[in-house]
Amino acid sequence: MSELLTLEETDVQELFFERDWTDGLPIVPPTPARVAAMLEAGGIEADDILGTVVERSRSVSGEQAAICAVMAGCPTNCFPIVLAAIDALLDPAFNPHGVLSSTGGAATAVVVSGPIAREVGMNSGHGVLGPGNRPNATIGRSLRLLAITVFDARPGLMDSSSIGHPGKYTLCFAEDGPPAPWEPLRVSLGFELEDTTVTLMPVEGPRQIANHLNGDGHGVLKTIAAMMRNPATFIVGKGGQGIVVLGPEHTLALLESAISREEACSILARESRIAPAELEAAGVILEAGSQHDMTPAADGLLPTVACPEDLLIVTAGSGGAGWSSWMPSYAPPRHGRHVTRRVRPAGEALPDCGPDSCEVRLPEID
Amino acid sequence: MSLIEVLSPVRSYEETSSTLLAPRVELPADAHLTLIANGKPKAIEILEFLAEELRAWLPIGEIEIHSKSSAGRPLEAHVASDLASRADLAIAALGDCGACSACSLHDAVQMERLGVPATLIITDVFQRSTAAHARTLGLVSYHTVVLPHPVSTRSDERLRQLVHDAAPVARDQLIAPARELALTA
Repeated sequence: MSELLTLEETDVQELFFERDWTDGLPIVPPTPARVAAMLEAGGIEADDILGTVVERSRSVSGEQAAICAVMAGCPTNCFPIVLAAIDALLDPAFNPHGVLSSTGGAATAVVVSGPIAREVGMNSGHGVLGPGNRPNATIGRSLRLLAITVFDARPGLMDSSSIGHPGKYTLCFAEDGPPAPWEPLRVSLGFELEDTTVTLMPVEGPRQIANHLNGDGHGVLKTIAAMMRNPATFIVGKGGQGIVVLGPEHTLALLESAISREEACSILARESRIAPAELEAAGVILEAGSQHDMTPAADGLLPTVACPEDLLIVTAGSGGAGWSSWMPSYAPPRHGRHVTRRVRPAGEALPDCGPDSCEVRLPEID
Repeated sequence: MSLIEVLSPVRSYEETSSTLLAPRVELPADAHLTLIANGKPKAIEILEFLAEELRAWLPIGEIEIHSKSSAGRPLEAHVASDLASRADLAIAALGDCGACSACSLHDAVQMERLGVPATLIITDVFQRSTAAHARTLGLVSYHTVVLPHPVSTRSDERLRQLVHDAAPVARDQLIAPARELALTA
């Protein structure tokens, strides 16, 4: 149980600032009633353990998650999404210890795909990566406040970001279901159409991609690949992951060129490969014998993303002149990779896994 | 003025049980020195320079270099156990970024807990974060060998000089009597 403080109401904000309990913005005071309502909406108990980060000797309780969501201003009906995102964050494959510590300054990108995103009113359209939508803003902020308060990820202390970027306040958005025959992101990741999923990736700041005049899908992909293979990006030449937020005009261009999502990922992985000479011309020293060996493959090139599966193409944004966005991962995937979890509606029963081991008749051993 | 009750988002964590450094015992005539390189540029060079310096004072026989595949993750427990089974001393490097300093610390502490005197090499800008991470491992503090940041862009000649200057500190951390360096929670 967290400590209960009794304060003058006018002193709450200053106390939270003084104790480094916020991201620098004011918070919604986490009163016991608000925290209880959040827990109820998530269908969890205060003392439930959601997971651990062993390297930091820290676990996350249901109450801590709810406190952070209240502080962030999160609507209670979004808390199941926050909980799924926390599950993903605590997956060792995501490597929260490294991601939250790195000088690379990674934000935690949160992509929500599925019907619950619409039900709670998430934004997948105009200004999808910008301000103005409460669920988008506060789901992402809940994770950052959790990183700060539970995992001590404070700048200059256990968050060693050299520069960082504004996405560290919040970087959460919903997929705009793609036009047929493309399937939603969650389906391409192996989930059911009726599911809602949350996908996390540790990312550098988004780079906007302009291509306003080319209606050919292959032309659009060349422009995106050109942005991806910028030598100044850390993963270029090393092989990382990344999210392409594909705007409506660019999506249409790909569809009219009969390019599937999988084909687009393959083309981008191939077209974003880069010659060592191009990196050297940009002043990049090629690493050799280090954790990021930059010895070219048989084609004489180095990867930006190691394989098509390391790319996530998410359709989102509103109609306009022709914009997309590229968010490269902060590092190659062995340092932390994208992780997806299904949102479990509050109160959903655990799956029936059949008879337990006591009831199983094992085959006789001769 | 009205009073309001709020829940603290921060818990006070109890330090874990006392964690002592590995005992500093007399080294065998051919002590096995394990260098845990995390793959950061210049990590292996710096570790090898330091090993050369330590040979002047310590009876070092075989030197084993273990290369991690990710600087952003600590050694897996079974790998640490395997390394510790033949090590008399261990040094982890290079902590010149956030994740890599945190994980090199973890590597050194794992070796200590497995009975191997250890230390780690970081750069000065990560002293504060390394100290903070040590507390999450249940330690009040942990020693480090500190080089001026940055190191990855320096010439080998300059690195040799920096390591030469830091070597006595590393030596003392590896062999000083445990009671002087006891880490109690």
